[in-house]
Amino acid sequence: MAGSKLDLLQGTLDLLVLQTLASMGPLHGYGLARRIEQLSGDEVVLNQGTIYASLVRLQQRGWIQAEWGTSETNRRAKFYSITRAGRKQLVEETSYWQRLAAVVGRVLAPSKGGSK
Amino acid sequence: MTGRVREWWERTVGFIRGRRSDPDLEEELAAHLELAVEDNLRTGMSPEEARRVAMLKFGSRSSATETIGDQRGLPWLESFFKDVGYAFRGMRRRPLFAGVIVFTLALGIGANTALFSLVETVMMRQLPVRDPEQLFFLQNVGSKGPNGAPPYPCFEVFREQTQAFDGMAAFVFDKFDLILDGRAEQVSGELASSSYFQVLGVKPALGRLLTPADDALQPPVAVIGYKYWQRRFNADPAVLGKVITYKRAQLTIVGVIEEGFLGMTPGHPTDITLPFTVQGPGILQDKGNWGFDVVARLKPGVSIQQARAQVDSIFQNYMASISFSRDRADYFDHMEIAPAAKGLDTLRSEFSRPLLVLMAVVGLVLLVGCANLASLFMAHTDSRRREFAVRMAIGAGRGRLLRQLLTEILLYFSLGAGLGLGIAMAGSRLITSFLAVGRTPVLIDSSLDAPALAFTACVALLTGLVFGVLPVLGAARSTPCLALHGSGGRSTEARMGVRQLLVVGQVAFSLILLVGAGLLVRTLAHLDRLGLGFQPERVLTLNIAPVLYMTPTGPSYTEERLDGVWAQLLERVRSVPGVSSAGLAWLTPLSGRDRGVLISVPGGQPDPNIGQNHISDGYFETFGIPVLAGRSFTARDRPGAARVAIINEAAARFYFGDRNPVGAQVQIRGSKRADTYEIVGVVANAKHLSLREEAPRFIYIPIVQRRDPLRRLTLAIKTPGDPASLAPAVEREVRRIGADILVNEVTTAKDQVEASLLEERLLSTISGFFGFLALTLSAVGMFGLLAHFVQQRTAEIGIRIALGAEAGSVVRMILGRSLVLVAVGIALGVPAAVFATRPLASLLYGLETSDITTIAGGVVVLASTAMLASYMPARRASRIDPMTALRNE
Repeated sequence: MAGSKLDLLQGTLDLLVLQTLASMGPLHGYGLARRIEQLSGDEVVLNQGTIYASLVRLQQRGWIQAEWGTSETNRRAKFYSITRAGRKQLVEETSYWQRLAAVVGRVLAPSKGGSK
Repeated sequence: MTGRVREWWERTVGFIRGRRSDPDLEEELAAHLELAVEDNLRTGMSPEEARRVAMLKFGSRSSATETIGDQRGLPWLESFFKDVGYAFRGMRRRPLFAGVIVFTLALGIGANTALFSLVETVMMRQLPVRDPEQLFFLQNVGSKGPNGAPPYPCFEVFREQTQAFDGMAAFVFDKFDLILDGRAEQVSGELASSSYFQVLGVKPALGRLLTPADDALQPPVAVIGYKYWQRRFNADPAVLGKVITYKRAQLTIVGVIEEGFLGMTPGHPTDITLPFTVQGPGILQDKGNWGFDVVARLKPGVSIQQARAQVDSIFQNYMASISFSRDRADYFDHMEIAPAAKGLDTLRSEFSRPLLVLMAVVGLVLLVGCANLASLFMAHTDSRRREFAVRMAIGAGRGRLLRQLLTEILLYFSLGAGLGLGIAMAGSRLITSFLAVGRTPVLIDSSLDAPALAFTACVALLTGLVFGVLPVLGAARSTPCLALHGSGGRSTEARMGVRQLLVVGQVAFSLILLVGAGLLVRTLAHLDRLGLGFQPERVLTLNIAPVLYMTPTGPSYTEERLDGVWAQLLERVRSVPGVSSAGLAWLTPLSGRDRGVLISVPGGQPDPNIGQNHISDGYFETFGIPVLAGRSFTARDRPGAARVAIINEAAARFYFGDRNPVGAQVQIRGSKRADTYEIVGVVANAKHLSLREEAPRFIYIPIVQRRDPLRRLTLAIKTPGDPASLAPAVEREVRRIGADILVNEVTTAKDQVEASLLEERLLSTISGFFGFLALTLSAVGMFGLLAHFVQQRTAEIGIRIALGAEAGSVVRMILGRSLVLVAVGIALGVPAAVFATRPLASLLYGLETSDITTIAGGVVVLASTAMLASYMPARRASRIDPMTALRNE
């Protein structure tokens, strides 16, 4: 496993999208995909096409909204931005994720640390 | 959470709207690529390289569109609907296959559910009372089995001196002749000690139930059952306070029992419950009345042994105190405690035998049916291996194929189960209506039992899944390339082997069913052909009982008054148009009633037991029983005249041998006195209690010279027309003599003969039907197997024909194959049938279980049906055109 790229866990892509939109402001699909790749230090395997199913899902849930606009290169593109409900969800999911990561980390840690 | 709800809502809307192309999405994805290309160009790639990398990083565009589509709809539901549609089209393409499968499923599920439900009702259902498993009967038991409980004085001691119970109650089921609204009416019900409802934990629906104070009969009260309340009083609450006249008592109705509780005797619902003491004050002191049952509630934590010991020691003391010796060891040896959760077991013991036989029958049919399902599904899957292989080769997932196959099986199954539910309802209603006739109809709730339905449905579904899906799993594992090449090679052979085994099993099981059905049908035929000794045609019988009760001017019908009633009745009825003869009798043939006395005959045989009947003149004429010697009774045989009697042929032969009995004096002995009668005639024998038994010895005495008080008699009327249509006119005549004369059990003698064959007819009808069904299923199984075999071997047969094989030899080859299977099936089935039908022995009449004719008949029918089923595929094989066959290969 070491050295190979990380497969995204089910649902984590949604979280990454929300976080990226929250911190970067409105982005189009390509920009979003590039941003996630860059932020993850190119460690994530991402078929950029798969990001769109996630975008549809987040829209259905009312966590993001979309609007046509123009890119910096003057190309027509759809821009996504996070909604208020999306921000609330992001807070919840982030804290959930951190707790989960902490627990998993603790369990997987070498046994000498386990008794703490 | 609202986010998820919104998502599902949108997806459902999307699903309903259906998949459609989305220009907006297309534009967005195109823009994505262009943006990526621009980016790549900026890093210095060549335009081709830039586009290539952009597309690579994007991944498959069609799969992206697909996942987005999935996200916008409900993909699994879509594919389910697609599968259902596909399955329906498949059914239309193969109507015979679909029909046979659905029909088999429906009958298998339906018949088994109906029977299991009935068995559950009769054998397993607990009484609707509080904690039924705590209830026990206290029974005196001897070498001849369990009986009711000891007399009331002993019961009192049980109640007062045992610590093992939380209350106990005495009760007895009976029929009561009442006067209600001035008219005579018969109801069935229970006499119960006042603690009865309290012990059972049954509550009133209206008013109150019996309490200890009611034993004093001040005033006398009664409670009625819920169904009787609805049926007789239209559920009118004003029923409370209504007065019923029963014997000496004017009973006030004080309550209605809650719905569901029908008394302690399943199958015989009670209309009314009266306090024990209405039988007269003596009953509580009577040390010789053994006629009731006792139910007691065991205290939690007390063992049955402890309870038994307590009761038994009281019983032994009681027995010692009453110096009782007759039959002591047979019936009154000691006390036992028997579970009462299901009530008295009269119904179970009456019907457990036929029900178990029927259960075995439908169980076997279910087996034969499942074998058919298995075989058909295997053939079905087999013939679609090529289709599956093709679809897998072009990329269909194995899961997808499986899901589709499952959908198909489930569709067949739901259709079959739905139809089966209908069959089950009709079937269980049919059987319950079968039982609800006769003098003491058995009334059981015909509702279906959900666990029974679930069980049979699961068996059928499992069969479908195992035999429909497993072969596909095999097919999926094998390389598409092999399957495409035609026959699947060895695994097809193996499946053929399994199917042959299934057909062999079907033949064997069907033979068991056919032999069993044959035995039962022939038994009924034997019984139907038996001479009755009387002519039941066009004879109407009615039970006539002037009800005895207290009127302001004294008892309603004294014995003296009764004689007048009988005489008047005959006179009036004989003048009704359409009555050709009429007679009265204490007992009529096959009515279920019996009475025996002891007689002494000068120089007669030592066994003095004989049936005794009281009859009027006109009785023999009405029943068409010929007088063989001497004379019949006439109007001259009056109370004061010489006592006369008539005996039947069986009695004449038994007591007098070849001597002429006419003129002989016989003495009929009773417990109090002995009377001498002169025999004036001999009549032919007539069957009495059952068709199976030889006609018993009988002595007939004129009603007017009776030895016992006759409070009820059966009126028999012969008419040249339809006897049933005469009933209203006759009932009217009776009512004109007195509205307080009960008329019931109105039936024809013919129907009574029928009713006495109830069990036999039920069994032979149902087993005959299922035997035929199993035969049909086996034929279908055989046909299916051979048709499939011929289809698989088309090429081989084509070659044989091309090489000069004649049509006859091809037919012989196919028929030979089926003959082998049938022969093996029969070889297994004959010993199985001999063994499996052995429990029927006691149900048969005129033949043995291993009756050669019946077995041979079953074998012939089965073999010829199988040959018939095989002939069609065989003929098709013989007509194979070698050129076409080989070209298709």
